[in-house]
Amino acid sequence: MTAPGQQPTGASGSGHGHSDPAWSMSLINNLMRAPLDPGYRSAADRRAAEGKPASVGLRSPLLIVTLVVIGLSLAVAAHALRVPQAASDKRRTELIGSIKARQSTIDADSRTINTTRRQINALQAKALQHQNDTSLADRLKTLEVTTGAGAAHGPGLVLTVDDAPGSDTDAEGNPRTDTSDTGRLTSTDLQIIVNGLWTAGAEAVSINGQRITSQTAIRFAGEAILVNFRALSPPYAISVIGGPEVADRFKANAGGAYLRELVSGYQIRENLASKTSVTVPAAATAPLVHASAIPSQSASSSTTQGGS
Amino acid sequence: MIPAIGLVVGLVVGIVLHPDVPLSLQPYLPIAVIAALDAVFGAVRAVLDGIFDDKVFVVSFLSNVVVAALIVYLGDQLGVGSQLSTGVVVVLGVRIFSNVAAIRRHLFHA
Repeated sequence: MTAPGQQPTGASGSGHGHSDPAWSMSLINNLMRAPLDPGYRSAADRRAAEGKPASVGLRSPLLIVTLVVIGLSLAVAAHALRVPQAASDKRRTELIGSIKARQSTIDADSRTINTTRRQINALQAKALQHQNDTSLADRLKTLEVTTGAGAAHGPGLVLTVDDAPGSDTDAEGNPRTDTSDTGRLTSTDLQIIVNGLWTAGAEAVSINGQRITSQTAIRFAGEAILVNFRALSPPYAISVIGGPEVADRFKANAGGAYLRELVSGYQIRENLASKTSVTVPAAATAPLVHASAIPSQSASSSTTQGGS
Repeated sequence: MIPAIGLVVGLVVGIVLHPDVPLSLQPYLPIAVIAALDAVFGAVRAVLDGIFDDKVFVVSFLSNVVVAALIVYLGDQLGVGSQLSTGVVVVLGVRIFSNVAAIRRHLFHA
């Protein structure tokens, strides 16, 4: 309401007054045509009236002292203003270095976790073989697939969703400005879509290789969507294991309706492809230390879960 | 010639001693430098025009620096310090350019 109200007053304010359209430029004209301090001219005129030469010699001590001061201030300013930039550069490289060091630590740790998990699996299989109890091994596998501790594959579909075209970066190439936020998928969007897929009968779900388990949170930090505390970047490929009816049920339920609304309202890109074989990786599930099954119900399953 | 030597002596002394400038004065340094340069180029032009006066030069230098610093200080207090600094740099920059153009005409007749 204020913008249309202000416009006429602003237009009338600039409209009347001086008839010369270049009047507002008189300051710049002054600067361009008479850049020299008028004091020089008047001082010269005064000296000429007194019969002295118009120009004073360049040997006056006042002039030399002033020039020494100017040179000093130039050097000091150049020095003082250059140092902070160097310091900030140093801090920047330090931060980049520490980020890279932590990333390599994470890589090394996850490699260790993977090898240890393989060893555990091998030892587990060996121990179960010794017991000559194949049913226990089968049950362990089923539980691993159910809880997300083991990778799963089967028929299913891959639902790829992506931000609206052109929303990933703005004109300055900065993805963190909030000028084009509406075309960007949020963690809430992904939550609703994944919930819709679970409702539609999905048996196992992963987003960009991050398995959705009972311990998974889809959340956001800044602009990035985190799944299993890993930052994901678009496009988000949601792999789903389930029967052929999952796609149809998803399209019919609230999650599918929400996704259609995103596509029509915010130009979110979406692609649903049915696959004969979808692989969903294992998640790095944390061992349950404090949680245990309620004793009166199915005690056998709790012991197996605690062992795995 | 002697004034140029004075300028060089000042530069060398500043580089050798490089005294620390208090952090509170640092926003004024670039503006002060531009104001000083403006005064210097104005003086060179006045010398070439044959109307140089040392008192006018010193007064114009000091008033340039003081006014520029005052504008930046006022801008900082009002929250538009960077915009006012830009304004000062533009105005003094335009003046430096046109003075340099006049100096060039004097020296090279072009």
